[in-house]
Amino acid sequence: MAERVLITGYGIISALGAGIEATLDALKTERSGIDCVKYLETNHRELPVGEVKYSNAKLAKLLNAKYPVSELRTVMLGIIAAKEAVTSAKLSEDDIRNAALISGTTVGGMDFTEKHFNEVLEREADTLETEKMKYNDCGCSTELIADAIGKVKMITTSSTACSSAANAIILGANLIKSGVVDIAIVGGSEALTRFHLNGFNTLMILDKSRCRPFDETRTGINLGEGAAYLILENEKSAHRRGIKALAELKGYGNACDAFHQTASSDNGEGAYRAMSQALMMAQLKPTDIDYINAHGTGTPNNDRSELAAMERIWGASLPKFSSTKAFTGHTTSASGAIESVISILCLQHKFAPANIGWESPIKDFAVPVTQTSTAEIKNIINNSFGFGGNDSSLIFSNIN
Amino acid sequence: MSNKCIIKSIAQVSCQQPLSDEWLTSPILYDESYAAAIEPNFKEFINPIEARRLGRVLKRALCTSLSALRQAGLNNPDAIITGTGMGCLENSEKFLLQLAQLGESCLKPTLFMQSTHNTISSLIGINIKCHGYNNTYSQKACSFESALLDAWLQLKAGAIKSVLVGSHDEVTPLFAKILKRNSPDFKLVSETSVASVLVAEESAQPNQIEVENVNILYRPLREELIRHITEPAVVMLGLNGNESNDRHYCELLGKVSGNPIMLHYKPIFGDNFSASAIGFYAATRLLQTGKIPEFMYHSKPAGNVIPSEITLINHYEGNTWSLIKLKKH
Amino acid sequence: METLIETLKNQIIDVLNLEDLKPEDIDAEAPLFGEGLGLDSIDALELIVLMEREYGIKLSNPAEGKEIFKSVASVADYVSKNRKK
Repeated sequence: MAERVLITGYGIISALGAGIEATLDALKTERSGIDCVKYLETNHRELPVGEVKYSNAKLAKLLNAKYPVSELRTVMLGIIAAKEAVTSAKLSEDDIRNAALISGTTVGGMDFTEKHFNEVLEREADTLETEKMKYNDCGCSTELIADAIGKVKMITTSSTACSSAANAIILGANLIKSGVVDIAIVGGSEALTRFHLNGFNTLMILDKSRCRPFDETRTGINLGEGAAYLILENEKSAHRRGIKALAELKGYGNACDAFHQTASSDNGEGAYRAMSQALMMAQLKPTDIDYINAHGTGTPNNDRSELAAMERIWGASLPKFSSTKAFTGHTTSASGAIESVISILCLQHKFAPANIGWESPIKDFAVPVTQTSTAEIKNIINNSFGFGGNDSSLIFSNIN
Repeated sequence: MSNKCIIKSIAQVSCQQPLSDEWLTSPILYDESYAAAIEPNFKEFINPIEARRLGRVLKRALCTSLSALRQAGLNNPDAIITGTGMGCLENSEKFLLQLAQLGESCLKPTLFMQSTHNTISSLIGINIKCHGYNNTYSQKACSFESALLDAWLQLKAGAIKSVLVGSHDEVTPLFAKILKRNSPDFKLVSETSVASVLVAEESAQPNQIEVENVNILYRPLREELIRHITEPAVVMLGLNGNESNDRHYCELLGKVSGNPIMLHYKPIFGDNFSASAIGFYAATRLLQTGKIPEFMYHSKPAGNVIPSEITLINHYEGNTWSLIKLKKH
Repeated sequence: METLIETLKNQIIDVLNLEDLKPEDIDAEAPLFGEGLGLDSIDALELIVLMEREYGIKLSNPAEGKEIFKSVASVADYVSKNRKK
């Protein structure tokens, strides 16, 4: 009998605010965190983004962080969310010592590197240059997050663009099922950078207004930033610690669309396979799913492809579905975890969040949830689809 | 009942002859502290329309991956899992350079599109139309082991029957300068691309090489580390000639019982974040051939050694440690 | 127009990394996308950047590119009518 993977804690920071309560409040009151650029130093001030509403200086003060952490936004966001998760699960130092930390990021310390790249080029190799490039890689961010929360048993970093955090969650679950660890701190963190804001801009998939996932008039994404972590734990450990689970990770799937580096296939093959695998692992029928937290980025391509995949599984009887990216922005590597936390909040508080800003249906396709509605929700699928066709789906279920 | 994880095939591109085992008998020796990889014949594996857009790390990864798949007689593995410490570094640097020089307009989309770390793994998936599990790990010098651990767990659990595992890192001149600056005693920095097909078998056949165990530990206590190392006869270490790196191995080995024979691979293949993958490749070849070339010994024992198992030990800055045990049946 | 076509061919070869091709290998009237050179959507984006960088022409919608980038000749025609540099 496969080991059950329970969620015993969670933490989050995004454009909606810092912490679980702020996030829940924003979702219920349909308050979007998307606004014009306030903190990132960029010329593209016209682009709507989902920034965390704290400057680096404020984040550093909150954390009492010293250099280099005080200069690394991805790390600071990660620490805030990871600490909240650890506290919410009441993990002791001993618990952390035997836990794995798996984090998803693509940006890593790029926010710091890009600020200083000019200096790096201007000088010959010297200590200043070395110092400024030292924190660039993904793995470095995970180390610094781990060091801030305690001594963990093992760490690694998943980096699959927009499905990074979802894949971190999947590895954590596999580590628990294999008995490598009893507890896994899993999720992801990503700060907004000029690098990827401009990168997405060159691909011409950013919307100049607030994004409208699944809307006929959609033209692209709004980038966001943030971090979220879940505490995954096996039953024995949760029981021993006397901690009540928030939800169960009942199933998951990871499949490759194998179509194109930046576009999804017309029939959503990777998405279809990821969702199907998750259902099979969870031993659930499609009709058992009460709500889908869609990837729903707001690009013409993704939304159509994702709807096609959903139709292949649910036919005409799609459950309630929505994208929450008009709330948070597309938080790229962190999205799998941020939207997992949102999904768990939906399970706990029995509601399906609105696909805010939606107005016109895509011809021949189903309509998302347009108003936040209370609903009896037992099982949720959360989709995360990354560039390159790295598609992952997670199923969260109510604890009976 | 758990499956055995067997190495079906393996291929490399490095500063030694690419896709070849020539290094076993005639290694190329380098005086400089930086050696670029020797490129294989890309045209043999990649068509020009595809190749034109690909940076070097991507082309190398395709070559080693397609080569490993060919050797294994496999078109489509159940999974593709990849490690990379710095991803498509050259493209990232070029994009950063454009940002610095041009500001925030007229930037090249291709550079950005191929700067994310998962470009490598998804490129392979797209190329061979593989819809299986696909993941990328980036954890500095433990990226390969992260990919290997994921693969190993899934094979043993029976979730998959075959997997293409690899690790790929390029070193640009700028990055080489920085690596060298960090570690002035470096003997050799180079580039690595390794791909291997692993399969799940219920039991191992004679001469097959099994990946018996994979462990990753973060800031472990000495006792924790030693608990995972069970009297090895032969160890393959990530010694790179830099004192601040090498002393961690020496201190550890001083406490490990059994007086194991110590081997190294970085003096031949160079160092970078994927170097442990080339150590994995080298150890596989030594077990397959039953011979250890002189230059692989850190200190030569009296008499010849025919290894039947090798424990690979790797660390980065003494913080993240990995242990891989390979066994020849 | 002849010179513009020649210049464009060189720029296209450069920007799309068509390293094995020379300008004389590209037929000005032949389709660039689909068949012919077999370029794709990412190449279209690169050509949009080329338009802005070399000729000051800003295309805000990638869909506009479909007609403009049909062949080198159609690109030359569009550039000569709309160039700001």
